[in-house]
This record gives sequence, C-alpha cells and structure tokens, in this order.
Amino acid sequence: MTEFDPLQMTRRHFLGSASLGLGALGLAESGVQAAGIPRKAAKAKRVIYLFQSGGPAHIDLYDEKPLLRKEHGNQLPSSVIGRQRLTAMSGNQASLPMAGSAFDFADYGKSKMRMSSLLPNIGGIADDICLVRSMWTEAINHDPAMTFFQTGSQIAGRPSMGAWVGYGLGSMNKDLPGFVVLVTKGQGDQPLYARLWGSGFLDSRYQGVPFRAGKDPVLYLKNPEGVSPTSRRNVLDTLGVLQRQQSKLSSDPEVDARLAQYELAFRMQTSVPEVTDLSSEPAETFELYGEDARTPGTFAANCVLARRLAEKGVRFIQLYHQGWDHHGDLPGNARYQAKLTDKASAALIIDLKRRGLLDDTLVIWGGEFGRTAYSQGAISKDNYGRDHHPRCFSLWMAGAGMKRGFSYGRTDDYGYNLLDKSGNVITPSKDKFVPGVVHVHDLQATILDQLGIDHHQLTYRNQGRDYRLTDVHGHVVTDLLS
Amino acid sequence: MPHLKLATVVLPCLLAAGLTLASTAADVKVPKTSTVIGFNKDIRPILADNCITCHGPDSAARQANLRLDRLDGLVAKRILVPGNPGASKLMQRINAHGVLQMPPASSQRVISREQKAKLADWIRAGANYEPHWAYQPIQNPKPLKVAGNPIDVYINSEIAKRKLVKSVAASKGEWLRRVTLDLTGLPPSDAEVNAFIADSSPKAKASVVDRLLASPAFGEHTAVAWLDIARYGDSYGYQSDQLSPTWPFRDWVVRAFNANMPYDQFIINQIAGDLRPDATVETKLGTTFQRLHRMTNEGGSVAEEWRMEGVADRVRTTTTAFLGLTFECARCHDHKFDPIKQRDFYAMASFVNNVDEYGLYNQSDIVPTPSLLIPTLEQERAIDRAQKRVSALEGLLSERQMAQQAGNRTLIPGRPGLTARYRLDERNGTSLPNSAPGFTEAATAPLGLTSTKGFKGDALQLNGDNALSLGGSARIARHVPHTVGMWIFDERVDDEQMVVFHGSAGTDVGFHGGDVTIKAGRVTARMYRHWPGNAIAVETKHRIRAKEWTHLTVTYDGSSKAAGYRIYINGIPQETNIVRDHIWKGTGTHPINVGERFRERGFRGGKVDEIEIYNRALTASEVSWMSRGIAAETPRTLNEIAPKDVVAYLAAQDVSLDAMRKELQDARFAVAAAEDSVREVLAMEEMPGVRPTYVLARGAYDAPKTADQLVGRTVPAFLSPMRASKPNRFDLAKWMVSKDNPLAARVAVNRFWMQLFGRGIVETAEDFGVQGSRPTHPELLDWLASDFRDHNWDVKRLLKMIALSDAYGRTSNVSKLQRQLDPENKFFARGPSGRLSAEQIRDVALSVAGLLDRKMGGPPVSPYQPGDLWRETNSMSPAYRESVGTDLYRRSIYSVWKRTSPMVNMIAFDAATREVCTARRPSTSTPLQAFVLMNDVQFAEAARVFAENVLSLSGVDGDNRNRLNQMFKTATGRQADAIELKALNNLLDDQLKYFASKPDDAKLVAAVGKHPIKANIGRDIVAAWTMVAQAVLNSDACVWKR
Repeated sequence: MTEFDPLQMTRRHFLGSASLGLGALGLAESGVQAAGIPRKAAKAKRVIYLFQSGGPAHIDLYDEKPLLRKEHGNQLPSSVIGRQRLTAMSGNQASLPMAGSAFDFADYGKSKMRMSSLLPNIGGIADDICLVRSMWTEAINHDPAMTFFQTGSQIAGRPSMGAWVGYGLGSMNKDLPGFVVLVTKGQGDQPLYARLWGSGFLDSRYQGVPFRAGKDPVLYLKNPEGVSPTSRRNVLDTLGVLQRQQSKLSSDPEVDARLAQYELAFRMQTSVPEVTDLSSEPAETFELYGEDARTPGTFAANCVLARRLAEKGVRFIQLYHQGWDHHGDLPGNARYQAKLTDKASAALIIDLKRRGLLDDTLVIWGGEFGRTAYSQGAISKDNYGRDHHPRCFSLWMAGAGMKRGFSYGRTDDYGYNLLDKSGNVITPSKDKFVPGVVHVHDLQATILDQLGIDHHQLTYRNQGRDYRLTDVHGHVVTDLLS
Repeated sequence: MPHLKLATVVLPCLLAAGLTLASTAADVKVPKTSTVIGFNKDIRPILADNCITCHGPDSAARQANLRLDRLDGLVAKRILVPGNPGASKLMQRINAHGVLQMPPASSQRVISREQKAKLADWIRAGANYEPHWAYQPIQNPKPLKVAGNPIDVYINSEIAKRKLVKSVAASKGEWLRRVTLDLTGLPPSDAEVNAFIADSSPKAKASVVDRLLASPAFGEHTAVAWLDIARYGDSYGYQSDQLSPTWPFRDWVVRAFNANMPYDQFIINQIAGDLRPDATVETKLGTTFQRLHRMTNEGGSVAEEWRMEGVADRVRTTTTAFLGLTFECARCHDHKFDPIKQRDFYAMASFVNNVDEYGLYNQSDIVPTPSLLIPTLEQERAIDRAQKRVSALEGLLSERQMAQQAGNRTLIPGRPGLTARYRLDERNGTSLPNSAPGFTEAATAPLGLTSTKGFKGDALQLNGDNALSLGGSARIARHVPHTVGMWIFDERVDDEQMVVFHGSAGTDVGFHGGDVTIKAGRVTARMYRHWPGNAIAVETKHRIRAKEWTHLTVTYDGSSKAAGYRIYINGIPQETNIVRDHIWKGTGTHPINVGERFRERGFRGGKVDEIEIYNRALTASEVSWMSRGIAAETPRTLNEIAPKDVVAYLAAQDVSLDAMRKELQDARFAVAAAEDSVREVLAMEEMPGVRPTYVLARGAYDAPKTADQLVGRTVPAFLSPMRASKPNRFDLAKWMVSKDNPLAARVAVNRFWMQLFGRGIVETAEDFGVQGSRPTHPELLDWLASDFRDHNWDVKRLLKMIALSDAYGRTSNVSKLQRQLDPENKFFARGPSGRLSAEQIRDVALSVAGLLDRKMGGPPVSPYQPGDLWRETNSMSPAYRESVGTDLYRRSIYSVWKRTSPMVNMIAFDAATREVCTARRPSTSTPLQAFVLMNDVQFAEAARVFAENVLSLSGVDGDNRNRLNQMFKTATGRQADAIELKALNNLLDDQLKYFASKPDDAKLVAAVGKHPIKANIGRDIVAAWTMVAQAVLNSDACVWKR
C-alpha cells in the first residue's frame, strides 16, 4: 500500500510548522506524507479503537475480586482508600459499603484468562488479546478523563490521538479520510465532544471525520436534492476551468491544491456510501457479529464497518460506545451494555484475524477510568452502583505487535489500588515508570510505538513549545509486546 | 569577560532574518544579504532547541547549575571564550562523543553540522550577545530619510536589500475587493465597485478606507479574531455544555472596534473595567473577557479544582492576548525557554483570582458569580418601582402594627403562623403526622431512617444519606418569611460541613434556595441563587455542643438581607457573623428536607426531634417558649412577652393584617421577578482583601500550600516593574499599557497587521518569546508600535495607514519565479492573498446572494445544521433549534457557538473551537470544504437565490452572457475573461438542456432552502443557473482574497 495524503499539505502549512524537521519533507507536489516525523519499523498499520465511554467496571468485567463478594455490604476500610480523592458524588456518602460483583468469573482460553461471564464472547478470544488490569489515569470526571485519554491532556486544545497519527503518518488511502469516527447511535449516557476527534492546534485536515448511520454518512456528502452526479461533474469541470485561469494569473500552487480537494470530494461521494453500505456483506458476517449488525449505527454494525474501513486502508478508526457510566443498578446496566458490545467486539477480532488483518491492525477496547469497589448509593444483596475510579482499571488490546493470551498487571484484593510486581500497593506517579502498571501516557506511547513512531519525536510546535501526545511522560510498555 | 559586551543596540538587526526557521524549505532560496551572525537570529534558536531545556530558565530542571539563555551563564566557567571556539567548553562539549557529548544522546536532540559551524563562527567573531528582542524597550523611531508612507520606506528598504522584485499595483477592482474583505469581511457591492473605478481623485482610496472603517461591518469583522483570543462561545464548554448568555460581550467587542475605542482602553477594560474609578456597566462588561474560560457542571466535580482551572486559563489568555507570552508553560514549572518563573504564573494568577466565584456552574439560567446585571432603562425602572412598593408596604405594615398595639391587646389562643409540628413520636410506615392545628400534611421518612429515644418521646435517627421530607406547605424562598425550630443532637462525626435541613434544588455542582448547616458546631443559615457570590448568609460565632440535645431555631423575615436571619440556640439569640449579604433574582421556592441533600454531606449520626415550622419569623420570646418545650401553649398575659416583642406578637395574631402581609410577600416576589428578566453576564468583581495565592506544585489544585509558596502580586522580573505599592487588577491593566511595557503595543500592531496582510511581522502572533518567530521587520514593528502609542492607540488610524500603503496595494498575481523567491511573502514584495475565513466565506455567499441580514447584535442565532448535531452524541445537551426567517441569514459572528459541538461548516474552514485562547488560525484545503460549499443547504440556497436574482435583473435583457458577466462580477468583484465566460456559458447551456428534461429535479434544485422562491421564473431555468452560481461561488476568485 502506498502512503498517500489525500489532504495534500500545502506549502503554507509546511512553512507554518517549521519545527518539524523540514528536511525530511518531500513537499506538497507529490502529495506523499504528512509530517517529517522519523519512523521506525511499524508493526501496526492502523488502529481500531473501541472506546467504551462512561467507565466500564473492571471489577465486574475483567478483574475478579472474591474478597468484595465476601465482604459485600461491609464498609470499605479507609486504609484501602488512603489519600485518594473521591468524586463529589460519593465523597459525602455516610458509608462506603463494599460491593462484590454480581457476575461469575471463569477461566477462558488456553491462557486461562480470568474474565466475567458477562463477556463470554470476549472470553472466547482470550488467547488473542492482551489484557491490562493495571491501567491508571489522573482525572476523576468524564469530560477531563476522556479528553485526557484521547488527547493526552485534560485541557482542551490538543490534537486527538487519531489526528496525531494522521499528522505523523499520513493516510494510506486516496479516496477516504485517514481518521474516521463511528459512534453507537442513540445510547445517551455520558456526552462525546468534538474535541475528542478534533485536530487541536494541528490544522483541520487532521480532524476525525464522523461517519454517521443513515442516508448521509458524512455531513454534507450528498448533493442537494435534484442535483445529479452528472450536473455535479459538469460544475466541477467548469470550476476546473475557472481555477486554471486563476492559477495562470496568480501562479499560486494553492489554487491547484484546492481543485484537487474537490476531485477527492467527488470520489468520496462514491467511496463513502460504498464502504458504509453493509448490504453486500454475506449472511455469515451477521452470524459472526450478531443480527443487530444489520441495523446501521449499532455497535455491531460499526464493528463491521470498522473492518471494512480497515480493509480500505483507513489509518485510525475510532469507535465510541456510550453507556458504561453505572452509578446505580450496575448489574442490570452492565448486562445490557455487554449484550450490545460483547459479541461484536469478539467478532471483529475473529474477522480481522481470518482475513490476515489482525497482524497489522491494533485493536484497543476500554474506557476512560474504572469504577469503585464500594457501592455508590444504596446497596442490596444483588444490586449496587459504582462511582468513578481512576486509580486502577482494565483495558485490552489485540493484534499488531501485542502479546496474545496475556494478562498484565495486578490490583489489590479490593480492586482499588495498583500493585507492583512483588504485590505491594503502590502510589503510581507518571514521572516514574513502574513496570507492571500502565499510565494513560504509557498506553499512548505504546500505541504510537506499534505504529512505528517514537512518541518523543511526534511533536508539533505551538505557542513556543514542542507538544506531544504524551506530554513529557509516557513509556513504551515493552512487557506487552510480542 | 573582557571581550564580551552587551550589544548596545538591540533591535536594528535588519540582517538576514530570513535565514532562520521556516525559510529552510528545500526549494526556497533567499538571497543572503549578510554573513554576520547575530545572537538572536542565529544562535539563540540553536541554544533554545538543544540546550535550554536543561540549561535555561527552569531552575528545577537546570543541570550543572548552568544557564545558556543569559549572558552571565554563557560567560561563566569558560563556556565561551570569545574569539576562540576551540577553547570554549560549549564547542568542546557539542563536539564530544560518549558521556561528555552535549546534548546527550538520550535527549534525542542533535545539533547539525551547519549549526555547529555557526556557533563556532559566532564565537570566533567575538560572541556578541543580545538580550531577547521582544523584552527590550520599543526603539524610538529614527527620522526617516525618505518621504512617503513610513510603512513603505521600511518595507522597500528590506526588499531592496534582498533583491526581491516588487509586483505592480493591484488593479482598482482587486484592491477594492481586498480592502473591503479585510476591513469589513464582506465583498464590495457592484455600486461600490463602479463608484470607486469611476473616482479618479487622488483621495479615492483614502475615502474608501474611511467609508469602510466607518461601516458597522468593520467592528463585526474585526471582532471575530478577537473572539478567538477571548475564547468566546455561547456555551460553557464541558460535558453537558449548557448555553451561557455571554453575547453582550460579543456585542461589546463589536461596539469597541466600531467606536474606535483606544486600544489601551480596550485592554484596560478587559482586564479591569470594573476597577477603574470611572467604571460603568459598559467598562465592566469588558471584564467578561476574564470569565469566558470554560466551566463544567459535571456531577462529582471538585469545585476548587475547577476554580483553579479557570484562573489558570485567565492567566494564559491574558498573557497571550496582551503580552504575546506563553505563561501557560510556567504553570507547572519555570518556563523552559523564556525567563518566566513558576512564581510569575501564580503572581499573575493572584491579580485575577480575587473574585467571589465557586468554580462550577449549576444550570444554564443561573449565571455563576461574579456577574454583571445589564438592565434596560425600563427594567431598571421596574425594579425601582418594585422596591419602592416593598418599602412602602413595610412602612404601612409597621404603622398598622403600631396602631394595632394601641388598640386591641387581647391575646388570642393559638400559635399564629404555625403550619407544621412534627413530634416524630408516631409513625405509620414512612409517614409522620403533622399535629399543627388546621394542618394535616404529614412528613415522610424512608424506612432506612429509624426512630430512637428523643428529646421528648421518640426522635428520628439520621444517617446522612436519607432525608426526612417535611409536608407540602412549608416553603423556603427568598421572599417568604419562615421559622424552622427543632431539637437536634449533633453526633459530630467529624468537622466537615453537614446539612441539617434545606429547601433548595440543584445537584452537587450547585444548589439554589436556602439551607442550614453545621460545621464543627457552628451553625450557618443561607439563602442563595448562586453560592457564594449571589447570597445572604450568617454564621454563629459560638459552637453548639456535640452529643447533646440542643434546640435550634432559624428565623427569616423575607427581607433578602442577612440581617433578616436570626439563629437561636436553646432559645437564646446568637451572635452571628455576616458571611454574604447580596442576593438578586429568584431562588426558587422549595419544600424542606431534613438531614440530607443530594450527594452532599448530610447530618450523619445526628438526631432530630420536635420540629416546628411557621410561616413568619417568630419573635425571640416565642422562640424561647418553643425551646423550653412550651411551644404548644399560648401566653396568658402580655407580661409573658418581652416588651420589644409585644408589637410583633400582637400583629402576628391579628388576621386582619394577613392581606397586607400577603401583599408584602407578593411585592418582594415581584422584586425578584423584575430582576429575573434582567440580562446577566459573567464578569469580574473584586472581593475585599487579597486571596492568598500559592505556587502549586505541578499546577495541581490540591498541592500543599505553605508559607514559602505564598506569592505576592508582581510581574515577571524580566519585564519592567510595576510601580503600585499594593497593586490590584487595575494596576496590572495600567502596567500592561504603560510605556515601560514594550509588549502590549507590539503585540497589538502585529495583530492588526495580520488582519490585512494575513501574516504578522512576527509570524507567531501568539508567542513573542524566545521560541517564537523573529520579526521580519523589527524596525517597522517598533515604528508602528511607537506611532500607535503616540497616537492614542488609534486602531482605525493604524489600519488606514496600513491599508493605504503601497505594499498592501500591490497585486498578488506574480510570476512563478517571483513567487519562489519568497513563497510565504514574508517581505511583502507582492500583495497579500489567502483563503477567506470560515465566517467570511459564509457571509460573502449570503451577501452575494442578497440574503445577508445586516441586523446587528443580540442573542445568537441558529442557522442551518443537518439535524440536531448538539444532541446526537450528547443527550444532556440542550436541543439545537434552527432559527426561522431572516435569522438564518445573519452574519456568521452571530451564529450560536457551542464549544463542544461547534458549527461543522465553520470548523471545516479552520474556525477555532473557542475552547481555549487562539491567536492564529491555520488555513487549509480539504474535501470537507468542497462538501460544505457545494452541498450545505446554506450555500446551495445562496446559489439558488443568487441565480434567481441574476435572472430577475432588469435592464439585462435576455442575454445570458450579460447575466453571466453580472453574476461573475458580483461574486468576484472583477470581469470574467473570455475563457471563464465561455466555460460558464457552456455549463449553462448543458444545464438548461438537462433540467428542461428533468422537471422534477429542477423543482427540487430551485426550491432548496427556506427562502421564498421566485415563482415567476421557470424552475428549469433557475436550476440551471443555480449550477452556474455554484461554480462561481466555489471558485478561487470568490473564496480567496487576492
């Protein structure tokens, strides 16, 4: 596959970001690649990020805690919480009763990966995934936590991960965007924000392009009613004449660059509906992903679409599934979300694998933080809620370069604190890399590493500073890599 | 250091600035005009990129106690031996290998061979040092030896030095279109084009510029870039992202530019318009600038964390906007490149954090304090009338009471005003009966709240998480008098604030209403719309005892004053401190809950018993009876009532006064209601005293605050000192615009230069620091800055001077060769050109189509959006409600700006999201832009209406060529050439044929949008012409400024 930047860098842009090591640039005319970021051998060519928004409860999904079940209803010892802050939602609660998971856990796969019965299909691909039980983050509320995960900063204004990757690697595709966003339709729950797929201080060419379920998969993609492709073609041809006149007059290369964008847009009017139309998928696809994949906008349909986009060479495919913010009735709510996501998540891995795409596609499944060991609000024998918990949570990856059937990291018996490799409770610091625990910046560094980018070198100068996705932190977690 | 000397003249480095930074692109050859190496232009960038992170201003990160950003550091320890590169440690180390190598391999920084050579040459030549140019005083302009516009003198001299070729003057049409777009954001009308072309007087250009600067469109256009800086939006910007009524500030900016407010006043008002001695509502409105940082109302947020976040954003925005410095970098540590210390960041914060704010907002219609009320004259009068009526009724009631006292002094059995009495002894499931005579509304307590031995009979044992809800008639509101008395038992599980009872609504991010809390035994009674700024509150000086039955009564007289609250402990009136005493607008009217509030710390472990509620403020005598357990009884003689209470008591039992009391209560409600209608906007309002401000390690709000981290209000030492003894925000503002500060004027003129030329003399308009670009024309920048200051910071005068310069008036159409000599046009040998901004592109299309509605100001409007994009991924968001009628066609500055879901058709054209301060927008070409311009109903409709108008032109007979000519000229300001005309004509012929055969499609095309159709023209004709209009409206000649 050749590297091609459909969003053709203009000279104006090149010169505007002089710090990028201009020497490496072949300049716009050949329209080759994005920034002059040094590359190394890449294991992953593309990323599919299945973001589970709201904060899935690690204790109920991936990190079994028998002690909590035993102590269900009893006060969580304050020594466990230590000096960690709580949100203002449960921080004032008179008691913090421990809540054991309502779900059974079992060993899955040859690797005997311990997982909740709530996710039997993901359990079925246990031998293909790399499960991290020792993720941690800094933010305790959704907005800053999601923004941190997706842009490397809790504060708005930074490029999103997909934008950084596009900037660093360019696109691999001539008639689709390099960064596509798919959101499960109609889920409600915690909001998503344009900044999560925005380009921050990078320019708008790197923004993620949301593909929406329905007749207009990209905003403004369709011609106005009554305008036929032929009429459009005629208009574009005429525009071409006008542009060439202007180009002759001004000798400004941007005139041609702009016309090229119109041609790309014209191609996208065909390529986007083609790629988003799942009707050509065989029945077998829907057996694999589940019948709800037939309904556009479901998580399952988006997973099928993600595979199709991956096949077409889209570099960064970002899914969002809202619905994991379970402050109350966690068992009922988690059961419902698992039903929407479990089968399709697993199907995507199986599908990529059998098509030979898993070897160079990195898939990530996880949310912005975990949930507390104690119940928020009322607790009963079989019902409870959980508040936000940034100190430890679980996330898994699969595909390009990641170990398979591998579990990493440990939390304490309460699922509240991180443990180091010797089993001691630690207070992690992003300044000090501790093997066994994975900070958000470590995850980001690892993702970039698999894409062949040194996270230290993926920089952009803004306001006098060379910004990175990983700020001044982040370590590649080599333990996770095969 | 005998050989080293400070360069005495700092600025006139008119050397080959072009050799640095961007111009190194491969195919660009900038002629060298000098080989002299300057520290600022050649050496500082090398050191900054490779050395300064570890050997620079950041004291915490500094290695080997070595600073290479300053003269003293460079000359110490033989780092530099002027004249002798070989003996200089700097060269030795950067040429070393292995452990001695600098920068170390681990840093992944590499000094190139050319850079090393440059360093060596510089040392060999004597290692002349220059302080950073931007921190030096503005150079007084030297008298110019050449006549003409001084701008051209400077620019021409640079062009000559570089052997560049000036392009010829732009045609009149080109110039008019350019200057009209740059000053008003709109294209010139046909009439304006014709008039200008016909005007051959030497003052023709000047009068055009005067006309444009006087046009209201000038302020609208010029404001857009400033609103990017001010991170102006119509929503709060986080999570649920509710709308925030901030638009009066947007209109303020437009007014300021249109009225040509001197720019120093523009700065002062936005920093401290509230503190100037002659402050008015208008100057105060400028300070909304400081409050436009985003705010959250996400459940669970910690208020202090977000308050600090807002303050930090204020510092960042203020320093970028007015100083062109990147203070943000110093929030967590000393700046890596510029000499801004971490202390400087917090010292700056201490100027802008002294306001009574909470840090979170609650709901859209409650403006978080501090805020500014902007009443209309009518509203002001209405409030005044309402207040006078309250005063009158208060007087009248008091007279009637006095008169009453002289008359009937008979005591009537009963407890006047008692609406509820909960003994809490009986319980029927969750229901607890009300034993007040005539009232039956029971209280309810969930089964989780159990009974326990009480002060009298049973009490209710609280757990902090469950509320006892009192019956329906008891209400808490700003205008409603009340008394709540009860026995409480404070278990005092800790010293945190606990809610005893409240009548309020909201969530953990903010409530409105009233409450009574206990913190370590001190009782506070509050009534508020937004805590803490919009509130009345009193707190007892003494503490109640823990673990002891105590009688607590709070009375409130409905007066909206802190003095209207009385707190009694065991029947004894308590001394209180007034905590807050200013409340406006409504608080809502709320039932009473005891022991708990949503997600707050309830009265955990506490008990309550014998609750009584009255619809008036009881007298001290009555509270005393209640506390002694004789509440149910009636005084038998007046002697049982303290003399000072007699009048009030007699009045209270007199039902003939009920009507008047009701009237007073209604009148008080009317005051709040009158206030409710008044526009209220976020603004600054200084608190008394100075909020202690600390350096926060890593910028974390919860970092330890110790005495040695306390900062005073100072400005960075590398800038001129502030002369005020106890400086406040107003002193900061004055310092900003003082002659001693070289940055404000430079940053300002650079921005206005950018408005016309598309790029600044300093390209990095947001960063004048060490890492920023150097000015291409330092002397010109200083001349402009100094001239600007000397002429009362007159923005219009400055813009006029720039607009009338030859440099601005040159054509941008040049040969390829000329273009290659200076691809970015850094030296202005050709005229400026560039893609129009998002706002301009839409406004131009609407204007050309004759759709643009020129109504100015007011609440934002909601133009076309495909579906409800606001709620598509945010179910907590308000819905997008598309405007109707002419509001679909207002200038884009008035389009509602939702910061988490900004207008997609604007973002596609690089509009800033306005989440944070943005000093410069990029300019890109993308396929999404093509989609917007071709398919967005806003643009498709503009093409359709444009077509209809061209078809309706009178005096253009039936000749299509004439109409095409007219269409092209209206859209682009120039005549189409033969080739262009032919192409358009061919398209028209094709489309006429096509739509004649597709009447249904033609109908659809000719009906796009909500603007009424012109039914007298054939649908196929309109449709065909719409296609032609699309080609024209999408062409470079329309979308670009040339």
